[in-house]
Amino acid sequence: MSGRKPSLDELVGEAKEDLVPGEIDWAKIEAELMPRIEREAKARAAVEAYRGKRSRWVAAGVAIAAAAALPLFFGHAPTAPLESAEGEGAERAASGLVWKEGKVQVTLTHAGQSSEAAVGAPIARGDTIEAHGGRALLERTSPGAVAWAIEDGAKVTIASSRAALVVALEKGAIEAQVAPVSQGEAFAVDVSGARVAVHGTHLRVDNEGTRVVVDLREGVVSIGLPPRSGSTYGDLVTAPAHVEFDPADPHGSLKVSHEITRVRAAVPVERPAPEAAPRIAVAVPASSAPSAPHPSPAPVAASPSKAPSAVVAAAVSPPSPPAASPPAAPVAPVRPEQALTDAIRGCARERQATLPPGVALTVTSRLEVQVGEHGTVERAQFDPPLAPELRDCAARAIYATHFPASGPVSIPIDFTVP
Amino acid sequence: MPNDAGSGVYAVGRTVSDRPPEPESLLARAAAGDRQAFHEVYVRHRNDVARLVFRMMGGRGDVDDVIQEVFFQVFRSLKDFRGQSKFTTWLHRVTVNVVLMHRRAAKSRPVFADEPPNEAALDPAAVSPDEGAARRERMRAFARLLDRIAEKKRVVFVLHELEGMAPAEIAKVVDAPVLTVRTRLFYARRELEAMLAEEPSLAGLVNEMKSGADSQSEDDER
Repeated sequence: MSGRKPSLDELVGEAKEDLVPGEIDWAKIEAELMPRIEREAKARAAVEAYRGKRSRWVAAGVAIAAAAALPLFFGHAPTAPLESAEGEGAERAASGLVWKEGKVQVTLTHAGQSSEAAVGAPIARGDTIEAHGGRALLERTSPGAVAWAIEDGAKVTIASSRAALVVALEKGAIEAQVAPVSQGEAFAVDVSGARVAVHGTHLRVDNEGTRVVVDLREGVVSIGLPPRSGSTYGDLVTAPAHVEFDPADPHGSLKVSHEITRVRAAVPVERPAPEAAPRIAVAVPASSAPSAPHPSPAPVAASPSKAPSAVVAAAVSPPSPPAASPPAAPVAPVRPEQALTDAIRGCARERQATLPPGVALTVTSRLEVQVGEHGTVERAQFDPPLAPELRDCAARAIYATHFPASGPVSIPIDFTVP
Repeated sequence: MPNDAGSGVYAVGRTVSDRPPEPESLLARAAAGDRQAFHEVYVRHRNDVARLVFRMMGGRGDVDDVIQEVFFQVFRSLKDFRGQSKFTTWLHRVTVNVVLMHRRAAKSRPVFADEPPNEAALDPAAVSPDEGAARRERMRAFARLLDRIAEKKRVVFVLHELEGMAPAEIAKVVDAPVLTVRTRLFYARRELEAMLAEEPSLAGLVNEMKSGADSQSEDDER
């Protein structure tokens, strides 16, 4: 190193002495670190205990079944495991990044290397994704259709990409729209040792450290501890629900409220169509791909099959037509207020259809809506209140509707369905 | 300067590699979830981690938060430490990764232009007020220069030049061949030297430093 310029060496020499931190508040660090470690250890112990208990039961069950089956199947090969080995799906793409909101920075860590993820980046098992400055939308089309969003500041790791997509939510929140599957679980979120398993639903999971908050707009989730295999054994919660629990003790700390006003409004997790971001075809080995095509994730409008179409059209941008198709006739945009009135009228029609013939249904109320800064509905109330079944039907449309501006909106509702 | 593990005072020029090796039983107990053993590991290494974090972050930012995150990750991953490398090498690897993740995340967050750096620990008794101010300014400028070179080069430069690690050990930390480490080191130095000349304030300070050193050597000759 004799050829070095003295200036840099001298600076380095000074830096060795001077570039050291001043006073570090070790007490503060320890006061935050040790409780974190306690929670982590507690969660880890709970998972291990649960797994041990479960595997003992499984072992006992297998032993009994084997004893019973021995006379019949002696000499036959053992039956296939319930789920394919992790290794088989290890290289399978778990999701694809399909849209980035504004100037969001999405950091993808793959095999220890971190880089900025571009739209189209495949996300595989073991990858970690972080979003800063906005939301990032991801999709998995097969097996199982899941559209999910990582919110600003959230960090997730793909824990498994087998039949069910399992993500570990390390911090922040994610929101997902999951197409129902005929069997088993389609999607699961692990938070500090606890699991929120999804059978087909729209939900948001927020890791707030010592507390996990789940807002369930539709469907059913199971909240418990992650199993070694098979389905999650835990508390079943049906929508609409606002759920809070401590991940160290999901069952003991579970608090569920089915009050619709407490359930956080759904935010679209499908990328907006006008930008026409390239759709990501998630590569799945032919051997593991199911023969029947899976449906794409439903749009965010809660239960779109049930919600009136006018509302869905207003809430979610229509998909771009294929290039070869003729241009569609221009359609006048539907104002959100009108779309909501139409939706509530649709709900009333459904309700009226259940009434005896000849009975008309008159709805007279006022819908007071509080629109958030992103144009999503934060709070809604009918004054005077509607019948519960009508209100629940309308709520699905209301919380899926986007407004052009934030602030309070008042919509008079007055019609009769003959 | 004494190296009191609990005082926040730092040994100068001492590297992590100089430490006596970790008793295997201590690591094993910590990995098994023994909180007291983990706490002992934490106390033994926190100053080294703090120094590396501080240097990697250019003397600014949430050093405390990053230190906390490093030890949290250590607790989570200690069960995976197989003893194939020295514990300190593994700890460096964890620290470097946490710092890099933190820096990348911080890039998207707003930064105040004049965010005050975490003041370097100058011994006030050892330097005059003017000299102390000049040295502090030089360190700030040096940290700015370090900040400007590419991440991979910065990592090897800090580990080698400031932390005193050998390229072979750095290769294990950054998971790259030794030759690559040496190459990065070479280019890091070359870029820093080029930048030194371009940084007007630092060039002036360096000149002062050099002239001070020259006059000192003249005095010595006399």
